[in-house]
Amino acid sequence: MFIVNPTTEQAERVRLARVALTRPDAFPYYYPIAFGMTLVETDRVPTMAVDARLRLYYNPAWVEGLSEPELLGVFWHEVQHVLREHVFERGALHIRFLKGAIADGLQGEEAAKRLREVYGEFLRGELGVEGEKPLSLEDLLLTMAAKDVANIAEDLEINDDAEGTGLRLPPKGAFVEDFGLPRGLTAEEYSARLLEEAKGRAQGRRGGAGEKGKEGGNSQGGGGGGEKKEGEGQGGGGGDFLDALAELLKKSPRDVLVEALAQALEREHPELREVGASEAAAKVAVRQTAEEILRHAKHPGSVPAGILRAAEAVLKPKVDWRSVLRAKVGKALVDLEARERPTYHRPHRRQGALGSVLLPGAYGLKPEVAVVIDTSGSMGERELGQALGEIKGILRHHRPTVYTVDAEVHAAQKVFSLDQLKLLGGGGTDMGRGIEQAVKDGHELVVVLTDGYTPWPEKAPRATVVVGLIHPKDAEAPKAPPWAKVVPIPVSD
Amino acid sequence: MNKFEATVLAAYTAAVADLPFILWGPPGTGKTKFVETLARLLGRKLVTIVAATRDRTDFGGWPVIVDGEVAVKPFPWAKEFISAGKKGMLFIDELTSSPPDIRPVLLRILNERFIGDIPFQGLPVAAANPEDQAVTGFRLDPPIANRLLHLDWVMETHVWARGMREGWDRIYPRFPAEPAPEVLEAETARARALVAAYLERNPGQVNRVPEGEEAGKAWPSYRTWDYAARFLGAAFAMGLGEEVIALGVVGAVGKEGYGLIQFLRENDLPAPEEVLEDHGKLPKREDALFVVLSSVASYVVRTWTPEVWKSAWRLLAELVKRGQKDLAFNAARTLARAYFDPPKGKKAMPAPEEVDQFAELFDALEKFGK
Repeated sequence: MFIVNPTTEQAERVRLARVALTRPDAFPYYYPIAFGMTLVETDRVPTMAVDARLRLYYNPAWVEGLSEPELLGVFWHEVQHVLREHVFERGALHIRFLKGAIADGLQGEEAAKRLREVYGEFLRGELGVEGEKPLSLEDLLLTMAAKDVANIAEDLEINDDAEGTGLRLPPKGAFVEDFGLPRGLTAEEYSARLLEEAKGRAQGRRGGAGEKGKEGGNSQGGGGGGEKKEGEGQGGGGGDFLDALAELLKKSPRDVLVEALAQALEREHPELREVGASEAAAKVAVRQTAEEILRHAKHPGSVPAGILRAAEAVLKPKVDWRSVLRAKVGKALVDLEARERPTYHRPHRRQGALGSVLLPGAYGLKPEVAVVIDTSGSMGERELGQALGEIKGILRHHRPTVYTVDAEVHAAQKVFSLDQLKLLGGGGTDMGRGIEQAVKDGHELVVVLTDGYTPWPEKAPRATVVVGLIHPKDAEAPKAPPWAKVVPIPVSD
Repeated sequence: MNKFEATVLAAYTAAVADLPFILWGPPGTGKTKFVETLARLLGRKLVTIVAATRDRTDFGGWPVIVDGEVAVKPFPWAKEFISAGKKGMLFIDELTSSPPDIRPVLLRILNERFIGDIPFQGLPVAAANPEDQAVTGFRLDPPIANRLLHLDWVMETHVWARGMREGWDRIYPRFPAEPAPEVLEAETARARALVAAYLERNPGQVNRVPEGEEAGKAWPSYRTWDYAARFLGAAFAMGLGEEVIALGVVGAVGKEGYGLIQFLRENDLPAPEEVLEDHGKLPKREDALFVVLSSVASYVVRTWTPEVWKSAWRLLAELVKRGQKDLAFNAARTLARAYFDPPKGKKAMPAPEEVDQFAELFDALEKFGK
């Protein structure tokens, strides 16, 4: 069943829900999103879903089973997915990050097979893409696992804000209470916690089975970082992790992968391509809604705090620290690599054509890179893991030397592994000594991860220094010296 | 219109507005092919260079000995491009893979329109692979990024398949004719006035020094807002719609551009008086219709005359006839409430018979609670 712009009985009810939502005494500020939507009636979705072009897919049989107040709540929920930009880049970035994090928990062939077992059926059954040969099945399955986690995390972010609105949601959704999670977090924070929980469970299970010497592999929280040692991960540790994750996600019914569904439907019904808002129109609707929310919020008490936060996030987006870290380290690397020097020891690459004019050739050096890590005090383990993961990604061609520092400079190792880091606690850190050592060993780019409670060298070191400053979310980051490029990394609790 | 067609039209519009643009997209997806088509359509002489295989001397000139003295001579491609004058189009492919030492030279080409020490009048455009796909990829420096209009090149499979079957020229949309210079000038002046008015009201949107990875893409500055205005002018002159306009404006100034699109939309909404007089002026988009009807309702309550009152109900009845009863509902409700409870000191209005048509809706909506 597939109808665009339906005029059926259930379509009528959904259209009325839009009107009910935007009544002047209800939530008029949602009108740009609510009326920017195009309805698509289809039994290919189990419930209701919205895509980036504001096409609202719903299953008429499911809608029929909802009471009017529930339908209103569900419609509000879909509007929230749009307002919170889950359907746009934010959602895509979230999934990209989760893919990395899940892949880190699933190394070795065994795990890939398990991934197929858990998600293969889903692939055939609900997506209708059987017979298609994706470029990499593994990658697709990983995307689905990530999408699964992201969907639930996004639902959690939305549903905990329903309370302040007086709306009623159907009981079968994802709620923080069922997962034992705190309220008021973002989807990204919820998914990090879900992964942590799954990792913890997998670890517990493995411990019980009496397997030795596999202390949870890379157990940093939600992180993209950490690398398994050789030979690990062959024993199906990843499978345990995936099982634990799947078990955890069972608490909420599995949602449809709306982008994949939209693509599949567009192939079957090309007319679907012609309907729906353009990407620009959808984004303008989001902005407009956010502005309307802020306008209404001027009357105190009229907009719930969670909704106001969502609107502010649209209009004054915070730049993600990961992006800043990647940009700063990447830029430093490129600048160092770009330092080509002219030399007459080498001919110019086109000397052959120049005849008697002599132009100098050029030579450049690959920069040596060091990472200096503070192992003392109040370092947030989750963010440290994520920061390391990002750095590992940027420096994948460079094999940096890693130094750990509290009061002393400890190790100089050529490989990253967070397992080998011991966060010691206690004071008396001196990152200056770590930097000094790194420069003495001939490094030209030094990336420092610290909480900032440390003395710094007064004079600028003879190297480019990027400092990742891990600090509590609500407190200001401690000062870093002016010669360093600083990236504040806020820790959520 | 699909995203591909909109992107292609946006690049066409940028070229008409004489704005240097960059196409971001994976290798092998038809960027170069499109630029060739574009040059042909606009009757431009196209010169293509692959930045990754060049070094400084290619731009700065080539030292040769003439009568025992060294003189710096431009390369044949540069000569060809420069001599084409205004009709020249220089396509720099693989921009992000260019060796670092030619970046200052590229800046000079893109910004000052000089190759080495020779000025040129043609249009420089570029293509690049997104960072993770570039050969030796680097991000564009913010000053270079700020001199380009950024367009994401999306080749959807169904578009590509069509090209395979029917020929590549078939996948492009119909390109509007290049506008006459005086039309372009007039529309650009109008666009400039709109952008200026928008920024005066939203000074916070004028300039934002970008942070993070965004720095290598579009970001707002006085320069790029001027780009946005010129793009808008060309788009107006060719009668292009919001989808194309948004790609160009956001491609010039980054996501701040959506604010301008919103402003343009609001600017386009008809006043309540106009709509009451001419139902043909009702906007087609449902969200716009919702706003206009809300403003009609408050206009009726504000003016409170029998003529306006009656014409408002006629309008609502017309919407019922069009099957947009639900959209008219909120306005009908506001008016019905005002009927029972007229504004202070004002006398009651005649009972509207049209209201009966909404009775069923009133009941249906009651069920949603609150």
